[in-house]
Order: sequence, then structure tokens, then C-alpha cells
Amino acid sequence: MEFTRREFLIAGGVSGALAAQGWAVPQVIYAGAREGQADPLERTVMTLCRQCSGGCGLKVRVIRDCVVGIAGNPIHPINRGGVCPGAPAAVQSLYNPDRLTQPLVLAGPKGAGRYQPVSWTEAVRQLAARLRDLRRTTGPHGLAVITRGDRGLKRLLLERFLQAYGSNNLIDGAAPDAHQAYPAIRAVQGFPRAVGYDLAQTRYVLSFGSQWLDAHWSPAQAGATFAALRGRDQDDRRRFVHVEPRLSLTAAKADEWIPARPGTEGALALGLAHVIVREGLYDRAFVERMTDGFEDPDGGRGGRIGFRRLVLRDYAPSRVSRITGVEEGTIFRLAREFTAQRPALAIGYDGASVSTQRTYDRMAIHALNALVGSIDVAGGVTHFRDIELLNLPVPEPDGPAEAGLSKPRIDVADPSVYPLADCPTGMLAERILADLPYPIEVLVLAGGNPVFDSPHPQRVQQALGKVPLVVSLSSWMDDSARWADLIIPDAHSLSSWDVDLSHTLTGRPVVTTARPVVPASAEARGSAELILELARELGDPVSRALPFPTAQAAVRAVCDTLAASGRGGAFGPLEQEGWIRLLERGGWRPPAARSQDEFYTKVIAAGGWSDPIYYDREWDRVFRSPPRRFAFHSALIAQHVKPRNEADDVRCLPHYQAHESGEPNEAFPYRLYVYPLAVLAGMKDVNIPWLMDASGRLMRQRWNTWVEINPRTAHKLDIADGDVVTVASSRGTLRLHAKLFEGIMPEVLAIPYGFGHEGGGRWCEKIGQNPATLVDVEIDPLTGGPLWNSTRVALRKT
Amino acid sequence: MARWGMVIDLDCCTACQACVVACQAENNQPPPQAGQAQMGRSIAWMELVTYHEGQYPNVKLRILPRPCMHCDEPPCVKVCPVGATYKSEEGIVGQIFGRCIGCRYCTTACPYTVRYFNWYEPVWPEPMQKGLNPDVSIRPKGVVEKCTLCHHRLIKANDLARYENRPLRPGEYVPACVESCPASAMVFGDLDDPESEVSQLAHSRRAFHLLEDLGTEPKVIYLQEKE
Amino acid sequence: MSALAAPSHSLSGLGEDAILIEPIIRTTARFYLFTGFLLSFVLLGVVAYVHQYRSGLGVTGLNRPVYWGVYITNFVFFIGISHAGTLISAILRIVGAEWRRTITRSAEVITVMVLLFGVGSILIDLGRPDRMLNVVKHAHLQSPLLWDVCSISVYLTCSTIYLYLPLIPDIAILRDHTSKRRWLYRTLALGWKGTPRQYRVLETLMAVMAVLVIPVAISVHTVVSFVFAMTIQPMWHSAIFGPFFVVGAIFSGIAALICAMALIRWGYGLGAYLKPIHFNNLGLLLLVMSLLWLYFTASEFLTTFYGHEPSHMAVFNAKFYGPYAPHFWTMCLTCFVIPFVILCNRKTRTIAGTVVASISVNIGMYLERYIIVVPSLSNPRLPHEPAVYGPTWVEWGIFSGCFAAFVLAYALFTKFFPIVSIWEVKEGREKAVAEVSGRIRQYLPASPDTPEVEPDDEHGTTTPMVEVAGV
Repeated sequence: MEFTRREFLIAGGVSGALAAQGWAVPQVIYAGAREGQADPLERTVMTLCRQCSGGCGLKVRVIRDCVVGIAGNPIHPINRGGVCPGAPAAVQSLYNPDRLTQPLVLAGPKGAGRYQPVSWTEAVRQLAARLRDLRRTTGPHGLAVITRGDRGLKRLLLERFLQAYGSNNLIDGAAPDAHQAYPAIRAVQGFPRAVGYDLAQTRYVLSFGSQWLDAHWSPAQAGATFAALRGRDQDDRRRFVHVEPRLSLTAAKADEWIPARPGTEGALALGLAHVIVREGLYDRAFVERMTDGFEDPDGGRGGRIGFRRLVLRDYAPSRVSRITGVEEGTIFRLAREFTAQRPALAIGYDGASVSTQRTYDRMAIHALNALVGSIDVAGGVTHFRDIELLNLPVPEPDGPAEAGLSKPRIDVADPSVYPLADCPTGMLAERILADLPYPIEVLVLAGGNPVFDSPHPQRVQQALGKVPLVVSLSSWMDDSARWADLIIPDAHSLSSWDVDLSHTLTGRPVVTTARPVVPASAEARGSAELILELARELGDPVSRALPFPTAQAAVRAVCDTLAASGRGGAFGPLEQEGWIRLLERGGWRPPAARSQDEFYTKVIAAGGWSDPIYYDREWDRVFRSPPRRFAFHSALIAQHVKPRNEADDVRCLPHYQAHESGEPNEAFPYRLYVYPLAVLAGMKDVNIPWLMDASGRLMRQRWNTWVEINPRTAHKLDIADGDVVTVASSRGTLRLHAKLFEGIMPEVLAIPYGFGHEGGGRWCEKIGQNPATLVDVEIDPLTGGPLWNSTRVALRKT
Repeated sequence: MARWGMVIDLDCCTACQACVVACQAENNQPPPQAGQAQMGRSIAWMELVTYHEGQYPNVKLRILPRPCMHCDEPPCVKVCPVGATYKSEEGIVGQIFGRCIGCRYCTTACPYTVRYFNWYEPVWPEPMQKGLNPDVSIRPKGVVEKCTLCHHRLIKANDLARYENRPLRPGEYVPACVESCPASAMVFGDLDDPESEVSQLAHSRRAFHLLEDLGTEPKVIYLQEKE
Repeated sequence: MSALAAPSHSLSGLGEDAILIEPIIRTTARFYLFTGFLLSFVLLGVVAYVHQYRSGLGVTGLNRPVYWGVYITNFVFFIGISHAGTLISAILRIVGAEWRRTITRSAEVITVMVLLFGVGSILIDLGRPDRMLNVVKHAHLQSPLLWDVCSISVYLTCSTIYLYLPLIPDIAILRDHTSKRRWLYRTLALGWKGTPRQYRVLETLMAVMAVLVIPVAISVHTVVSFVFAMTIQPMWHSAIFGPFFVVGAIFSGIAALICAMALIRWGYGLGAYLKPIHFNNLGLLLLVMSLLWLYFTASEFLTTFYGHEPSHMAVFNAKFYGPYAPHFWTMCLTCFVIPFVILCNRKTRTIAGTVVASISVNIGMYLERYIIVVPSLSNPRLPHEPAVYGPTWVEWGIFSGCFAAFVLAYALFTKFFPIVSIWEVKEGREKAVAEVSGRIRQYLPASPDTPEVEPDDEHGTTTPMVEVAGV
């Protein structure tokens, strides 16, 4: 946007008017303005928000290379001008005094926190030397890279880098795009990507522990969708029921909150299925034509069991009521409500990394969608459409690379024990410590903060201590970076080139472009630049796989690929989207641009590209596993289990399992419920004072960690609001402030997750406590991944 | 003369607090610090008010985003000894930071507790000053500050309209909180214009004022949750 | 102030009242010690305030929503105490209570001195004391705070005049009897010669001022209460607040006066002037005020309780059972139970007894001011994070500094002017007996053997004075 005389007048007018009003006009205003410069006073840039993984578009107001305001990109299909608190707070992340601005080399024992600054080029050279060495000696598979929900340029480049280098170990610590639902959806549909929920068009929402208003992977999109569900635009309010042990924000905004014991949501779903099946309320046409495993596999000759008979036999509301604590009448009512209005949606994922449900529970919840035929229809479960971002040949591995790539990934569990073991386990620390399946020599933390994000932080610290070279790309001296040998801080997303692939909840792909709004410093460049530089340093074959001189060139390559796809176009207003949709449905190519240059310019100016079309009932696309139908009886699990009897069948069907740790007992009479804290959940940067300040407001708490106790429980123990109490599990003890809260089940204690960092800056360090230190994880029987909320705890007044 | 007002639809609000932070960023509110924030001294002109009703399991959490109500009968304006807080012709309750003596009478008189005080000289650690919005003056220590309905945006929009020799168009002037809301739960505009969305919503059956019985005549109108 | 001995010959002219100017001419080591003790607190207050001025009000324990705390409490408390003097003295003068003669001066000084600290407390409470002149420049008369400014300035002016007028004859005595600070006394004595005309003018002015100062004093504390009552905050917005504050003010004022008198009596050995009867009479007044206080407090809380409005009840409960219960119940104990028990019994209504009751009342009244200011603010109408207010060392430092400075200023006053009015004592001694007996005769039916006597004011009051002045 050009600087015009008009804009100059406006700026002058403001200060003049302020002065006229008697307002103090301090010197700091026009912070960026220096005398005698003739560049544009003010410009607006459309770019990408990287505060979380939501993939929102930003409209950034820049005055003389200073970001002075951030709002939503009004034509971005995901957020349409709205934002979550993270976006405006990005100013405090960009201009944070605790942000690392130069690479650091460890100068003392690991974890002691003594570092020496070193130049960016030197840091890259050191790392490259080590990687070259590793490739020659023990083999390239000794390199592992942890990312966190990156789908953008960094991920694209890392994938190619590792393929050419020769390591399979690209580990997604918490893949928010894949959610936690990923294994369950894979088990029953074979669909390898994440799914969305078309909440805006559905008639009824039953959400099982999914705190989609507290901690969605795309908070701004969740907000807009919620408004649509509430009939913001047409007076058409849809019913929304939420099941959770705690009255979360999501529960509070629901029409009805149904408290159920932690980890029993799957049982409740199966109880509903029981009623639906028994009363014949399900979508017969869909179940008969599009599902598999509903009836007994052997045609009812005995010895085998299908979904119908399993739920009728095992999940009578009376039993489910005993397991979950939900009244029988409520189970009947919910089942009838759920089937009365279609499309209805059962949501079962957790947006946040703190996961509560087993894969079996999620399969059970997802089975409800199949029972009402809400699979791949408007208002039902949508399946993210793919779009190719880089049209480059797969890098050809050389000898060492081939050897490295033949090795298994380190983060997957033993597939002979865990049928869905090819999903990330989150149990990386244990595997590194046990050298399973081989030792890791170089670990690159390219996203996330595993020490804080994982249960058992001490074990992760030990694992980081064990790996000979830990490289952190974090911009903060956070909990994990403190254990690194080399820190090469990433530049802020507002000063780097990037692209991001995200999806609307309706399953449509959205590619958002980011360009430097303000210049990056020479010593802290974007991680895309780092990967490219590293590839150049390593030389063939790695450099050949990444033929981009700069990150900008890579972004350009992505745009060219999009232009060539003949799909969609640069962001535009809704009418324009409708036009593109019409053309595409008619088999026409949307009028993208006359040239690749024009396409690129358009996309960058608008902030990105999207393909506004979604085809319902693309059964071939959404059912990928062998029967090519919705598999109540998971074919994927059956491959491992090879079922021969009823017990084997049950392992392939959604079913409820009691906590391995057993019921609360005298020593530990309560169940711990760790929940993601709204505002902070999913945020990549937490050292942001405004976000820290906002995070406690829902519970009227300020900058500390509290434990929520039902007043009845508190009364028994003579605990008053604000008292200091200790919560102890078999793994640890925390001293916390008691918060008496009617919105928590009496047998459950809830602690928010998001405070208690050991590093990362003045606004998050040593503020509150991290409940992960209490968590005693249970292992998911399908994926081998950790389950947080099975911990039993004791509560004492101090 | 317009009468600016805001409607907040509590049925759509998800309590995400985007408005809270957008307001802080737009209006140069200083970064809170842990110790000060724990004492209740952080500044957020737009703030989330929450309260719980009922007993387990029939509990309801009510959530209100609360800016200054911009009362037509503002209790704060009445008590200010130096006229540092005033109601403008267009109904915006403003604060003249350069005149305020910091007696905090207005803060105690406001039944909505939406007025904030600068206990210390506000500090933006290097390099945070770079992110300051040049349209909004920063406040020195010892004065009261409050929501101005992003008055600077009105001035800017008015200047532009005057320069182009046309009246102000609806939607041209919108405060930062309204702009940020992902759920479009906030609607802003001229309450005296019967055509405007805001005045139509303000007359809906769901509309209510906060602490209506006090007779402060707020220009922030809430729409209660539908049942 | 040096301890120079004044020429003894001039003192002899004062007769037995020479002891009254003793403190002015002689300063004991004990006084210096006392001054030093007070000065250390004043210094603490100054340090605390300088710290606050440089850093901002953040150094206090104030927060949102408890925007007002100890400073506003001090303001209300000090202004309350100021009612000791002028109001009591004016009422006693108007009704011609003869026992007033030795105590009016000490009461009036309290008013003038403590008012300064009342006003000072407001200035200390300002976030921008450098801009305090805006109150004049941009005066916004709608604000009750500005009513305060007006009414306190008028009160301060009136009280100062009212203190000064009866001082003039005593200053003249000092001018004539001491060799110290002659220029000061000469200037302040305004050429007082004690002529009958001068006395007539003085008496008239005093009478006018006494009448004038009463409504002003009442208005001051009413207006102070209006600062709270004019808002719509729970348990502030109350019509009873005006009279309630006035009663509280007189109550604490009398208590402060008793304490001051006891201190003077003990410090300067004025047992002959400040007698048990004075303490007894003031004690009775205090008893009456304590009952009145109970009446108002009960009305206030009973009304709130019966109305049972949730926002008011939140404050009510905070005072009765909540975090302010210790303050509230201590206040009930110290404002009513202790003074009532001590003062309603003639045996305990001694000097010591009344002093104990007075100290207790002052503690109680401070607490009352505190729990008027703070609980209403910490329980705002809209739900809020638990608001905890605890004063910091700065606030206590400034409070103790102000208090010490007030006592010091009072003590210094006694070093410059007689704290017991010499001429009024003399006048009382020489003429009041006759006058009072005459007055009493007036009240009664005339007995056949004594003829009705019309009192001749002019003659009665002037004759003895001429003698005094003529010495």
C-alpha cells in the first residue's frame, strides 16, 4: 500500500486532534518515525499468524518497519477478519525483550544454563560439520528432528532434507492438524489425514471432552463456527451438549453440561449407541450400505461379535451409568436427541496436547457419527482435501541415506504390541533413554517444548541430557532449550518467509503465505533459511534436494505449484469464492492469473490461496482401508490381531476399558483432571504478558496455578477458597491454591495446564506450577501413546 | 450527531478474550508484570467478567466481556473534581490524561469498575516500545485511564470523510475489540440511527444493560443467551 | 526555642497563672526527647512520601478495585478529629458552660492543626500531586470532592480566626511579660491594649465566629460523607451518612481532646487547670456521643440488613463475618462497649478512665473509617477476583508521620502560645462566679427578699480585665 497525501493528513490530524482535546501527546508516539525519511509512513501487510497452528491470516499495520497493530485478514477463509488473543499479542512476541537474537553454544555442563554467543554462520557451520560426521560414522538415522504441528515451509523443507540426508525421524510432537483423533479415524476409515467437523451447518452437537472453545487448534475459526452454530446470522440456533468431568468454557457455552468421570467418555458413547441400536434410531441406509462390522462378522453363526451385538450386550445404560456417573435417563434422552435431528455430530478430539481419551474411546465416539450417517456430508464430519505444495521429484537417496532410511522411526512403539503403532507416541523420552531401537546422536528441537509438553518432564530432561548433541531452534531459553548444546534461534514469523497449509472446518485447503513484515536480524534468521543453509553446507545429495537459494524462492515455488494446480485462487471476498466454486463445479478452471508472476503477486498481496470447493460423499477418498467403508470392526487393527473369536473381535471394535491404574483408593482418593488452559493452549510463545494475564480470568485467578475442588469435597477436608493445599500423586507433589468450584465432579480435582515453565522469559518463568509433574501416564493399548488423565491423587490442606 | 454504542451478543461470545488483547495492543496498555498483576493492577480496558451460578451439577458459567459502558448518565463524570473525565457530544466517555490529578474518585464511583489507574510509570522493556500504536498517547504514572471506544479511530475516520467531503459511512469507525471478535459477537454503530444493526439489536427482546437498575443508561448493550 | 529564663519580675504579675506561660519560656529535656521521638516518625513519613512521589502510588497496597485505602481513611479520620475543637468550643461558649474556659484553647488548636493533615492526606493520595492546582484551574463544581475543597478551606479559615481571636489578649500578655520573640507577639497582638472597646469588639467577633463556625463544621463533615454517599456504591450510597459522619466526627473529636488534655496536664503539670471535673464532663459528653454512635451504626446496618440487596449484603457480610469482621467487631468493642462501661460508672469516669475510653474510641473510629472505605470497594457490584488490600510500610509510614507531625505541631504550639487561655481563666475567676450566680437567680422565681437584678454585661465583663491589662 502506498503512502498517500491523504494518509499523511490523517496521521497529522490525529495528533492535532489529540492535542486539541487536551490529551498529552508524548514523544514516544511515532516511535518508528525518524526525521527526514521519505518512505511510506504506514502500510498494511497481509501475512500468516504463527502464534498457534490455526493458520489464520493477519492484517499487520506497519509504520516505518515497526509493527504497531495486528488484526485479522478480512478475506482469509479461516478467520475472516476475526482473531484469537494470540494474534494481537504477537506484537509482544515480536518485540519481546527475552527473545533470543543470536545463536548460543553451551559453555558448561548441560542444563546449567551457561552459554556463549556465536554468529549464525558459525553455528550453522558447526552443526553441518557434526551432521556430516554423523552421516559418515554411525549413520544418518542417528539424527532426529522434533517439530510441533508444522505444516508449512519448515515441514516441507525438513521432509526433503531428512529424506536426502537419510533419516526417518521427523517427529511431530503434537500434531494439532492430525489431532489426537488421527489414529481413531485411521482405524475405522483408513483416512490418513485429519478430519474437520462442519459445526456451522450441523443440527446437533454432542461433544465428548472436546474443549473446542477452550483449546481448538484454530481458535478464531472455532469462535466463528460457534457463532454460526448459535444462529448469529440466521435465526437458527442449534443444540449443543458437552460431556466432560469439568465445566470448561466449552461446557459453559453448551446448552447442557453432562459431567462424566475422566476417561469414561467412550463408555458413554457406547451407551448411546446401545440405545440408538436398540431403538432402531440409526440411519439404516448408511449403516447397511456404507459400513462394515456392524453385524457379527461370521453372519451370526456364533463365536464372533460385531458392533451391534457388542453394544447391545455390554453397554446397557444401567452399566454405562455406573461407569460414567451419568444418569440412565440422560443416556436415553441424549441418544434420542442425537438421532432426532440430522445431521448430528459427535466430536471426540482434544484440540490440545493434553489428551484424555483412548483411541478406543474416540472410535466409539466416531461410531456415533456413522450411526447417524454424518460422514462426509454437509454438517457432518469433513475430510481435509489435499493440495500439493511443492512439485519436485522425491530426492534420490545415496548409499548412506538409503541405509538410514531403512531403519525404523524412533518414536513409534512396537507394532507387534500396538496395532496402530505408526502414529507418534509422545513417549520419545523413554525410547531415547532405552536406546530403542538405536541411539540418537543429534536431536534437533525444531518446534515445541518437549520438556514442558510431555508428561514426566524429568524423563525428557534426562533424555535431552543423554543425547550427545541437542540443537534447539527455539526463540526462547525455554524449558527444553535449557538442555540444548546449541541454540540457533528462529526468527519471528513476522520477519520470515513462510507458507502454511491449513484447512477450514469444512475440509477446504487454505494456503497462507507469510513474508517478512519487519526485517530479521542477521543472527536470528527463519528456520527455513537455516535448513537451506545447512543443506548447502552439507552439499550433495542434500543440497540437490533443496534447490532454493532463499526461503522466498521456496515460497515462490509453492505459489507456482499452486498456480499449476488449476484449483482455487488468491483469497477474495465471499462472492468471489462463490464464483470460483461455481466454475470448478462446472468443470472450468478458475481464472487464476495470466502469468505465474501475476499469480504470485496476487497471492502474496491477498495473504494466501484457497480452494473453496468441497465435494460431499467422496467415499473413495474418505474410506481408504480395505472394505472401503466405515469399519466399526477396524480392518487396520484386525491386520494385527487376526481375530478368531469374540475376544479378538472386541479388540477390533470400539469398547470401553477401565483405567489400568484402577479406581481411586484410600491413599489416592481423587482422580486428577489436567485440562488445557484457554488462551495459552496451543500458543507457541507463552512469554507474553497479555496472554498470561488473560489466561486466569475465566476462573478469576491471577498468575498462579490453582486446583479446582468441588465445594462438597472441600467441605469434607475443611478447605476454604484460596487455601494452600498439596496435591500428591505417586509421582510427585504440588503446592497449589485451592479454588472451590461447583463445576467440577466431587471425585475429581482439576489443575490447569499451561503454567509452571522453568525457562522462557520473565513473564512465564517460575509462574505457577506444571501439573505434568504429577501425571502418571497410562499407555494407550492401540498406539502406545500416553494418556494423561488416569492419575489418582490425594489432597491435603497445609 | 451520532450516538455511538455497542451490542455484545452473549449467545455468540466464546470468551476467547481476543477483544481483551486487541484492546490492550491498540491502546498501548502496558505489559503486566506477575507481582503487580497478582495485586490486581494489570490494565485491560476490555475485561472478561465471569460468575458461576448454581450448584453441581446444575452449574452455569456466565461470561461478560466488559468494556466501559459509556453511560449516558455516567457516575464517573459527575464526581471528577477537575473535569478530566467527560462525555463527548457523541456520547463517548473520555479521559483527559493530561488533566487528571489521580484522585481516583471516578474509579471508586464507577459501578462497573472499568476505570484503571497507572500505579507506576508504565514500562515497555526494550524493544517493546516499537510496537506502540502511534495514534494513542501513552499515559504517565498517576493518572486514570479507560476505554475510549478507540476514539482515535473516530477522529481518523472523520478526518478521512471530511477530506473526501462525504459523511462518515457506517462501519467505517469500529473499535479494535469489535474488529477482532472472531464470532462477530460485537456490533458497533450509531444507536440513534434506526437503520443501523446496532440500534435494531439494541431493541431486541434479548437486550439488557449491565446493572440496569442503577439508571446509568449504558451505551453498551448485552444480548442475553438464548435458551 | 531556647530554655532562656524570662525576667521573673514580669511573671509575677500573672499571679498563679504564671505556670501557663512556663512552657513558653522553659523547655525541658523531656520535651526535646519527645520532639526527637516524634521527629523520627515525621522523618519516616517524609522518606515514605518521597519514595511514593518518585515511584508512584504503586508503593501502596492499593489496587483495582480497592482504589482508596489508608490515605482516605486518614483524611476522614483527621477531618473527624478536627471537630473536637472549634465545634465543641463554640457550642460550650454559646451555651456559656463555665467549665469550658481551660479547655477551649486546646480544643481549637486540635482543629487547626489536624485539618492541615486532613487536607494533606488528600494530597498524599493524589496520583499527580504536581497537578493539584488543576482543582482550581479546572474546578468542576459538580464533584463532591470540590465541595470538600470549598468547605474545608472555609472551615480552616474560620477555625484559624476562631483560634486566633481569643489568643489576642494572651499574645498581648506574652508580649508584655516575656522577652522572647517580641516581634512575633507584637505583630500578632495587633496592638491589643485591653481597652473596654477592644474587649467589646473581641467578644462580638468571638460570638459571631462561634455561631458561624458551627454550621461550617457540620457542613465539613457532611460533605466528607458526601464524597462517599454521592456515589452509588454499596453501603456508601446512604442518606444517613451526613449526620452519621458528623456524630462520628464529634465522637472522635471529643476523644482526641481528652487525650490531648491529659497529655498537656501531665506534660506541663496543669492539674490545677485541667481538673477531674473537666474530664468528667467531657467523659459524659463522650458517653452521649457513644450512644448516639451506636444508634446511627445500628440504623445503618439494620436498614442494610432488612433491605437485603445483594450488593449491599456483600459488603455487610464482609464486615460482619468476612475479612473485615476483626475490624468491625473490634470497632464495636472500642467505640461502644469499652467507653460505655467506663463512662457510665462514676467511679471509673476518672481522668485515667476517660483517657482509656478516649484512646479506645479513637482506635475504634479509625477502624470505622477504614471499614467504611475499604470493604465497599473490595466488594464491587460486578463479580471480581478476590480483592485483597493490605497497607504497605509506605502507607503506615505516612500515617505515623502525619500523626507524629500533628502531635509535634500541637506541642510546638504550646511552646509559642499558652495552651490554656490565660485571660479567660482570669475572667472566669474574677467575674464568672458573680455572673453565673446572677444567671442562676434569673432562672429561678424571684424570692420576695431579693430584688430582680438585671445583669450588666458591659460592666461585669470589663472591669476586672482592665486590671489585668493594666498590670
